[in-house]
Amino acid sequence: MSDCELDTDPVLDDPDEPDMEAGAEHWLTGRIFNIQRFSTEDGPGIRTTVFLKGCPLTCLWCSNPESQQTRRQLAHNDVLCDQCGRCVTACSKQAIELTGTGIRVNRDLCDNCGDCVQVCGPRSLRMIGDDKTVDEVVEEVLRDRLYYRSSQGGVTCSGGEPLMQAPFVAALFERCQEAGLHTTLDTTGHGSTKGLKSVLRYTNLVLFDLKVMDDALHRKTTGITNRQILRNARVVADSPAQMIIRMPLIPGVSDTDANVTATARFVQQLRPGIVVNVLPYHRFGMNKYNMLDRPYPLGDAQPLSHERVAQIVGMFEAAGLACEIVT
Amino acid sequence: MSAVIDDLATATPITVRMTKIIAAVLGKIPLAEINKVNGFTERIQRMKQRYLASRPTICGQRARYWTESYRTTEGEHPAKRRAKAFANALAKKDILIRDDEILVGAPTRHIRGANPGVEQLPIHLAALLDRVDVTAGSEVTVTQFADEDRQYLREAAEYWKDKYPAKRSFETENALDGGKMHLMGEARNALRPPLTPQLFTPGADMDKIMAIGFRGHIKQAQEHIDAIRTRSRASGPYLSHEDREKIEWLEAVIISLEGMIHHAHRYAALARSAAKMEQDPRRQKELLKTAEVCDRVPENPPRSFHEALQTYWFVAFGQEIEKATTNAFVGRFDQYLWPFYSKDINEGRLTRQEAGELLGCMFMKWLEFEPFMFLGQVGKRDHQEISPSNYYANVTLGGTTRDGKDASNELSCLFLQVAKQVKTHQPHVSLRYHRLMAPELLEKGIECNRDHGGGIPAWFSDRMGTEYLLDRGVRWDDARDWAMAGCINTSYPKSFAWVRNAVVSFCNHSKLLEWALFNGMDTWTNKKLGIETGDPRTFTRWEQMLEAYEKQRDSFYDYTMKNFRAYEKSYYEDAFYFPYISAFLQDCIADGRDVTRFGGRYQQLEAFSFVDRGFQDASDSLLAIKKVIFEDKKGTMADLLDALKNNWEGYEELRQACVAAPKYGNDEDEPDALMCKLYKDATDRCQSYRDGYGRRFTMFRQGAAWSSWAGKTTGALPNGRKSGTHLGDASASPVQGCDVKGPTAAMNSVCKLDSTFIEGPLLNMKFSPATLRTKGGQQKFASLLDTYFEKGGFQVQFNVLDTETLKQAQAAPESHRDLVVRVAGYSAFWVELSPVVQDEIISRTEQCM
Repeated sequence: MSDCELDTDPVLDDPDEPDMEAGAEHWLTGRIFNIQRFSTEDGPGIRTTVFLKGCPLTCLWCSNPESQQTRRQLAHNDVLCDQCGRCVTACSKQAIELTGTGIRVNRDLCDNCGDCVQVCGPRSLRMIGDDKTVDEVVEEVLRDRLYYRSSQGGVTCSGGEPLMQAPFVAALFERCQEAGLHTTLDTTGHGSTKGLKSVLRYTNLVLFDLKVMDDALHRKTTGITNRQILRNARVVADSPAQMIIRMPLIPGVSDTDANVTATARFVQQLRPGIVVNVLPYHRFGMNKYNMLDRPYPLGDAQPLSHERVAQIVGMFEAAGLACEIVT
Repeated sequence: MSAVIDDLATATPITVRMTKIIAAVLGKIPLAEINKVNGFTERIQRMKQRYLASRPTICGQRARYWTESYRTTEGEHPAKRRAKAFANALAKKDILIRDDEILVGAPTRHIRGANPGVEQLPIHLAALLDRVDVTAGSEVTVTQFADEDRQYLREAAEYWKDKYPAKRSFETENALDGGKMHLMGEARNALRPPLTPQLFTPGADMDKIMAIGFRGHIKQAQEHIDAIRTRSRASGPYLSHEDREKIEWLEAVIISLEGMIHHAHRYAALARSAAKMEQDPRRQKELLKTAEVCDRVPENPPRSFHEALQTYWFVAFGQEIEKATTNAFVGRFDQYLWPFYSKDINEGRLTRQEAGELLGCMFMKWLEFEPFMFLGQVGKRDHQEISPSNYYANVTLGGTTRDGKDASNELSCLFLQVAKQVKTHQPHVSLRYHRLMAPELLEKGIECNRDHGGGIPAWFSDRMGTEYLLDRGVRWDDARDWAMAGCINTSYPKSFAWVRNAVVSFCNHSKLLEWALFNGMDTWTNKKLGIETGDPRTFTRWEQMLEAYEKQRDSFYDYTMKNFRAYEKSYYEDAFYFPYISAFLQDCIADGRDVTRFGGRYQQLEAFSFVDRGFQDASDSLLAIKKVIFEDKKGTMADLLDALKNNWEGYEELRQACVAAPKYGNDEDEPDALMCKLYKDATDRCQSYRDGYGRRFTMFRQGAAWSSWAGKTTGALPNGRKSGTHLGDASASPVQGCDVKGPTAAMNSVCKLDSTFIEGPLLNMKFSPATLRTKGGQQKFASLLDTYFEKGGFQVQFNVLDTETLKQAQAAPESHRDLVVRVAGYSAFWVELSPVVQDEIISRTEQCM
């Protein structure tokens, strides 16, 4: 990777990071929390979306909180719980108690050993995160290849942040492209540039998230600076991959006029003809916080009105950018 | 036969029409115009309201006049007696024209009137009549009838009690092995007696009817009679037995057709006298128009779309009066009506809006079909238990023409436009999909799925339907002319009657597994209905369990074949004649033979069938036994049997282990391979038999809500299913809640099944209307359909997730684990959503509907 630009961020660009140029390693494993077939909203056509576990960001509005930690994690869906209490007995750490409507897991005690999952009848408890080899994932992805062909779809890596597992994603995409599939990377943009470039070699489309342009607010709401994200956005814009900007519209955070204007200005400079997708805030992830025994960080924030969403679309269009609402 | 072809070739009106058709077919279907049509006008709304306000009502008039005629025709030829009874009923039954009606005629005098076929099941009908509280006869459909009707039916039942044609078959079967087959029927694992030689699911050669009218058919029948007499006279003074039979039958045809022509004239007269009394000049005009139409058709060929619709309706409700069973004829509605529609539109005599309202009237007529008895068990109307108020009228749209070109037209689209507006539960609509179908029709079909919500239209592979008929010996051009009939019979409508109401067996494969688990004992009847295949507690290998099931299956088929052989001959000999229905089937008039006496073009299509279902639960159960008992050893076979006997009470842990075992429908190799094996082995076994006429049997694997009906008598199963609950829906669909990997995976699983020789492998799927909201979503849906059919899928029906289903899913999450929420960059199953968010989605769904 001779053209790799040297980056100053020591954390993100580890010089010892394995170089992928030698060829994809098919035996690599990825930590995956879901493979969703017939995905219709994560890129063109009918797709299979591979959700990778682990994310450097901790966005307040995250709808996949189970994706944030890299390690395997216990989750409990109280809707299915029948209060049998077998998990309480099975837990050697005494981390589980019954609440009357479900269970509560003391996360300080829980070591995610999974013993409780083994005894759970109604499958309310489950472990999130599976390690799968590239071959295993490719095998599953290829099962729908005829649907991709007729709909011009393909495979998408989402997360979590796929770039945290860049060697795996690069290897997976390489194999998928060999099989003639369209590949889409759905990324927060935060990751090593080197890793990003290794993935980009086998990527047809990047769905690139831009959340908040103001760095202070970005740090406050996602837990991390946006410097690397903006830098990587330029890297993607300069690559041959197709690029779509995705912007979650979070009430009081990213939906302000100032942020929309700043985002539009930044996007204009990236490359001509770029498309912006706006994703109105939804609360579908709410229950997942319960499943992980975490409070829902956005409290009772309400989704944006249709009028406001339309207004924001109008602002992007006024800046000469094509803009679509994605739900 | 030659007579028929000559007629079509020389009929000038058709030739004139053909030039118009070509002019209208070229170019794009004007979808924007179609989308403006409102088929649910105030008139139709009022009619639908009247339907909703009325209750299913049993009408005794058919039985009364039918029997009245029979009392006076003793000693005559049975075909003629039928024809005279039919004509008598048509001449005397009450007729009425309701407010707002443009299309007229009905099988009964009630909006929701059911005609009991008294001559088929007199004893059972009598038993039903003696029940004190008949009005609450079924949990599902509350039926009522007037005292006079009760009296007519009682008298008719008395007359028929020792004359009904099923008597001999019935007695033969009851005598065999002490009525074991009857017990199997009670366990809902066989067709229960009586084995009524009756006729279901008729077809009709509508093209011919439209070209020459009933009068033309009468003329042909008369010519055939004259030809026979002339030929016979040349060879001597006496008619041969065969010739005499033919003449009797052809005369019966003439009596039947004249009966319906006369019936139409009665409507014309009624309309005319009603017009005289009518104050409103607009309504008066409509009534006069109705009079004009009924004077013209069905006697003569129709000249307009309105007349053509009325012609169809006379044909169809006449059939229902003659046969008095469910399953009404519709056929390729958009094909045989197209010449009239396009001509009227092109010549400016009809607007699309007017055509839409006429179709709305047609839907209201279809709604009037009310089922009465089906399987006829004493005192129960099982059919209604299966499917309340569904008469199984099935409209086929789209597909290919007889020469293999796209058959989509504007009328196909208009039909779907009206269907989604009137939102009625019947008729079924079947859309034949192929890659060359007009994109406008594809779009309209998807839109109708979304807006109607009730799985209308169902999608069918055009190619598979044709191939199915080719395999049954149907000529290429005829095979392309297929239509769905009944709930899901692949038919050649121009010569199809589905005479084979008596199926060889009604096999519930989950039941067979149950017998294998309990060494031949049936848990519902507590009798040994299966054979002894060994106590599973002694099994040391899973393969022994599989073998036990296979032995039960083979022995069951052999046993039902033995029964079938015993009654087959009497079944055919005693069957009723159907001169009215046969008159419209290709080659019947030319052959001089009734369809129940081997008239009609394709006898193979009339072969008896094996109805097999319940594979999914059987297969998933067998695999659960393999995984949980023999591999993971989470329990012993003895534990499992105890658990099943106790309906899993106290064995929740074991049940959950079984529920968690791999299931068919997720594109996983092991469960799918086992399902394929069960499916295919059953087919091979059944296809190895031949009936008394050397025909192969039909493999009929439809759904028709059978799953809940048979589920009631099926005990707990090792896949975790509890006793008495639903079995897997349809024959190819994964068990509800078990396909957790989405539609592509489920479709892949279904496409692994070998559906050769099978009629009606069904896949039912649920879809959120939000998926179909945008153009992009609709395109993805189209790609999904396309790939499914290219992979060899035959049928798929998309039931849109309505708010009611979602509310059920909220209340019973464990059986809705398969529902996925598809949102950008987000991954979740429905059961993982918080109630607040679920409510949000429910209200969103409401907005989309």
